[in-house]
Amino acid sequence: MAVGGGYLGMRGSGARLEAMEPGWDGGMADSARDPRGEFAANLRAAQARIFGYIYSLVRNLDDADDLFQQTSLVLWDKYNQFDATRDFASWACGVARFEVLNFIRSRGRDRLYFSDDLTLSLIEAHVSLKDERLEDRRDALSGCLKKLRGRDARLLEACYAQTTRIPEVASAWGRSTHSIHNSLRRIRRSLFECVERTLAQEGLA
Amino acid sequence: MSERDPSADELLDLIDLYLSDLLDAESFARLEGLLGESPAARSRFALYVNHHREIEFTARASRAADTALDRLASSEGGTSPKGRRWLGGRGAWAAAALVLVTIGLAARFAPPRVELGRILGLTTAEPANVAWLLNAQDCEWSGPEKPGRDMRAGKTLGLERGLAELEFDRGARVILQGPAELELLSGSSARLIKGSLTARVPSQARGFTVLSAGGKVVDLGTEFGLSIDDKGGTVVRVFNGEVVAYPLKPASGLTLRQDQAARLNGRTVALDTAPAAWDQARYVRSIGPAAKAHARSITLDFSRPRPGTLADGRGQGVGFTHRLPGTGALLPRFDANLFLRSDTPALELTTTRSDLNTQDRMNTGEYLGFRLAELGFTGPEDFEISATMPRIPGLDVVGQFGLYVGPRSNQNIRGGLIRRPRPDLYRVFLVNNNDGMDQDIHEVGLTTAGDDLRLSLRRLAGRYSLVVENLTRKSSSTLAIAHPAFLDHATDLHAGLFGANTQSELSRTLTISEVQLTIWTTRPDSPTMPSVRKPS
Repeated sequence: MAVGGGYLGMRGSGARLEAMEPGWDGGMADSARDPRGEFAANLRAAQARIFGYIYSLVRNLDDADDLFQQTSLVLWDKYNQFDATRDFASWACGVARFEVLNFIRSRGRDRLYFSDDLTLSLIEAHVSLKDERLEDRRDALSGCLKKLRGRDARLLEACYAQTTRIPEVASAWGRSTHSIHNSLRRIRRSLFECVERTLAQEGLA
Repeated sequence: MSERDPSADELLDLIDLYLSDLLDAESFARLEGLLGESPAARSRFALYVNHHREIEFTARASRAADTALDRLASSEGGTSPKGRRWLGGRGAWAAAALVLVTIGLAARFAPPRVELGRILGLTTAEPANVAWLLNAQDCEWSGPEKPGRDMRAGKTLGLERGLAELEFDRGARVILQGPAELELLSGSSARLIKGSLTARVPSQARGFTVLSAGGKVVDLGTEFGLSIDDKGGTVVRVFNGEVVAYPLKPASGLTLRQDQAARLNGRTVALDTAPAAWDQARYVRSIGPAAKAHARSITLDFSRPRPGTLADGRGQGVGFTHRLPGTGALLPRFDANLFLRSDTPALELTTTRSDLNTQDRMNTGEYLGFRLAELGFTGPEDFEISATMPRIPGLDVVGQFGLYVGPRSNQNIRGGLIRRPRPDLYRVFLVNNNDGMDQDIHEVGLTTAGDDLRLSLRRLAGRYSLVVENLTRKSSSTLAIAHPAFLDHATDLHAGLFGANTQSELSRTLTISEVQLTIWTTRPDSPTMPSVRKPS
């Protein structure tokens, strides 16, 4: 760019990062001195919540996955600005929010998306989910899935195993969109109740 | 889940529809409303969405496992596992889990694949800069992020003052006028959070988009100005070419052509058929050579009458040209509370009962001053008003006098001396008044009746402060309070002095020996002297 743009336009982060050493990721004991190790540990601890937050806004696993990758890059890029006294997951969700909003804008108006304000206030709800609790729920869910009737299991698979929209499933199954939705809702709800029941029985709820 | 709460059921129903992408606009708004008003609903939402995500992960992982097992079975010549359900027995899961590891999926359907190597710099892929700073004049940047080498999407530039010209990757050029905040979104888009900008968009950059809280403006090859007003509304003005302005909610856009302006308030976009005359003037469309600040001053020493200005009881013009809007409406044209003493020389101002706090008796309140626009003020300029007051009188408790700045009686900042309940003692104070109510008051020190004072209320670098010099004791105090942001975008400000026997009928007479108003303007073409108001 003209008039000083050449200097101002250069990015510096490439130069900031030193070449990766093998095994850097294993030495968590060194994390206090190793920003990469510290960052990796932070990201791992918060990734389920960050991903959940992104997914809750875009409702598509592939999009959420891309956005999560993108967010992770930005997080590392900005990690030197992270205030260690703050909660990493909150900070990360704040960054993720921006990536999501950009994505939403780039998608135009093909779907309804939450307002900017609501995306902000949803951060706290996601961040305050406990990782252990999510783990417990995951374990309980796998038990509950095994109890599903065959037809319900097949419907879940049809709807979720690939990026398929409900109207397409409805058409393939020869049913109306709302009928498929109602079945899905019933299945999700019964799984949700099953998870809650399991956790309550295990004294984890 | 043993007890059913109907509203909880409604919430889950709405979330189900949301996740299935089957919500209509009305139900979507209902869901937004429920989530917006209740933290508990948001927690429920987060939990339920995670539940949904787990189901989806599990299904995905299972499909991947089936595919992998199929491959294994066929390569080993074993029985095809076709027909096995992903919700099958424990053994199938164990096998699937093993395969998942080998094909790179996390064994426990762990959520995202985190490519830490890529993130931590093992590859050279870098998000690119989306804009460059071309030119900067008198810039003072706020916040941790300043323009520089990192100008990627997501960066927010906070410009406290000055002019900054950016070039976006696709070629659009933007001049940001401080105070303003701009978020870089992409090589062809940005979000104006506050303040004003102008954009010049060459043909290859057509489609350059500026978002704001009020909507978005898409350029069709043109030059336009955009600003956020003090109520958060967005105003767009086209200088050349065409833009399309869209409100936030899905709706068709409004095409604007040369010299047209429109307001966007989020829900609607409306053509502004009578844009204020100052509207065009406030946009800086090019950065010229660094402008020198010109001080424009007016000084009243009260040594002679100034015809055509506010008149005292005998009809002698005292020099002030305006009253603070909202005050003095019932005061006579020849105001007996004013007495021009050309011999001393000084102006004597007899206080009346009034109070800006609660807007008590504004019609007879004495708030004399100037209209800054008549001295070349357009909004961003700094200024100072000062007054010298010898031998200050003792007012009754909470009586007060001093200086003010604001567009009207119920929106201003004022400071000076306020009488506190000890004989002859004043405290120095500075206070914001918004919607007619005082807020953020700060009081310091003590001053005695009979002292000589000089007060100065100034705006420097956009920040207000009050300096009180005690000429008798050779001491001074400077006060600052919470910034009155409600004055930031006001372009029609008044500044002057006041005297009020607040909450008392006991009037006192103030002596003012000199008043000076100075505006530092960078516009040499501004008018040089105020035109005085014709007495009504």
